[in-house]
Amino acid sequence: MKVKLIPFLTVFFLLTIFSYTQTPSIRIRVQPVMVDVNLGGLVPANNLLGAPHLFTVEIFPENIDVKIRGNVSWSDFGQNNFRQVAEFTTHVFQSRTFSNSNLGSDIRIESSRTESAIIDELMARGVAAGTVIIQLTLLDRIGNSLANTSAEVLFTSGSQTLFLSLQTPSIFQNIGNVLVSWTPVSGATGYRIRANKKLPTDATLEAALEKSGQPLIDDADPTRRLLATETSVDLRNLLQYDWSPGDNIVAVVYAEVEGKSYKETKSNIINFTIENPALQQNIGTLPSTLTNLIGLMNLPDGTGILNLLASGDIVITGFTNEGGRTMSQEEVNQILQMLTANPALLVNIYRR
Amino acid sequence: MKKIFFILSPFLFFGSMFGQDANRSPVAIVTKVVQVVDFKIEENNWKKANIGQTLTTGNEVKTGQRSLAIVKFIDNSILRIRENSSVILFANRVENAMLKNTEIKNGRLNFKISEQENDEFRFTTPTMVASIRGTSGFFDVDAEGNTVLFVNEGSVEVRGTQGNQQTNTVGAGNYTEVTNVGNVEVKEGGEELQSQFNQSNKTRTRQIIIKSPQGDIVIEYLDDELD
Repeated sequence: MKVKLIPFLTVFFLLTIFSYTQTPSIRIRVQPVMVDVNLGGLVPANNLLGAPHLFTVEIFPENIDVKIRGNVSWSDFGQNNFRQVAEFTTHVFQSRTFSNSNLGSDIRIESSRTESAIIDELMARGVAAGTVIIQLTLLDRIGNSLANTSAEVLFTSGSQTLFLSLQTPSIFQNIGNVLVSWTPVSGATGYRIRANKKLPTDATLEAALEKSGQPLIDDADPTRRLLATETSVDLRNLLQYDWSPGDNIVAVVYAEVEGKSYKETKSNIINFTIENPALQQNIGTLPSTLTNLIGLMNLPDGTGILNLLASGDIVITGFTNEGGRTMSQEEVNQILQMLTANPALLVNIYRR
Repeated sequence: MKKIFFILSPFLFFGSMFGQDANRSPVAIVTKVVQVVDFKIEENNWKKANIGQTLTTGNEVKTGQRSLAIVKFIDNSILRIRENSSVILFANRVENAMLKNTEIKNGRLNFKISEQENDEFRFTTPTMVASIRGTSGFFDVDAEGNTVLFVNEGSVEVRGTQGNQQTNTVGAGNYTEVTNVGNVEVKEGGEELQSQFNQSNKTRTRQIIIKSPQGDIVIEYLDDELD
């Protein structure tokens, strides 16, 4: 009897040791593409009811005391500009496999922070659209990091299968032609375009596009309707009112799909400025060089500077260095060329 | 003002060492901050790093986009932590020698290490350990931990910490790229890596100011330090 017990006890002992020495791990299981999902499930909060199931978290080994720190960031469709939407830390719970809908219910949130401006922007769109990165760190009960994982998910709505882009990808567009193209939508019977001027008082691109009045291109005008076979157009040919140098323009394309209002299938909004050739003659290639540099950086004030350059009203009175020494335009151009070739040396561009 | 700071900095170090646990004594000081630089004393406790911030063993420093931090050790060794990088500083006194180990989690770090005499200066990345006695160069560590080490002056002993765990010496003008395979093959750096090294040396913040009645446009960039 004792002889039979020895192997059993050895296996039991080894299993016990193994379970205690197993390295903690965490994994997210999520569909890489989600359609028409409400963003609420990505922003956990205590007592939030009805959050949709979006992802599953697996933690091994099970039944040990752990916490999770999470970070959710979002970038708009077709862009690579990730902004933090929310971060949170849970209270201690017993490790196991769970759904995001458990966060805030049986797994309580200890602390959280959300970027309300981004949430408001996303909520205004109805469904989440863009790329979301979910990063989770597994912590022990006192907050030491044990493991981490992340997952990237493309959130699309029906509209996001339609992607509008400028054929010349530059913030400045020629006054005489602005060629745009879009991805064809299966089953579309036609396309409609809306374009409008964006004024400094328009808070968002969406607000600029949808404001009442007389749009530059009216999507409701049947004479501007495009055939289903068309996937590109010169916006200049559709204009109902002219644009001027320095005008900042927003545009969108809608696909007409049988059985749906055309407004339901909507592209991303593009934004560009009509260039001012007179300005460019005065200050040479400076605007285009600066445009390139700003394009290389993710600047909070980038659009403001570009608008200033493109407005045609700007008067450049000179150039100085940080010590107040006057610089020639040639010297400035040389440095800007060097920075264009070595963008890692750029620190910031701002207005003051 | 800058001069006064540098004259005082050794006293700041040693002054703050008295009466403290050796492991909690300052080992380095932040001498330059461009844009977003944070440091972490303990888990979940990130703070904005300012010039003059002393760092103790175990402190982590991270830089944001288009940001830079310069960290100077007591022995005048200099680390230039470039944008989107994260490093942890360790220093332990073993008898009369100081063992310094900088763990580079990711990003680019330019180094200029003073002659170490009895001390040792190590860099650790997810795939290699490099021992340095006195030299300059840079590390580039990607998200997978793959590490490029370029040596500008002197030589660096390198050991792969994964896979084959090879060892080799990287001399001036040469580089090695170590992955999780653990091979340490030394190659000539050429103009490209020399140029990257020269860029990673640039830490002087300069400005071009485009003057306009509608508001000045300021372009900030990094240039060589003045001699």
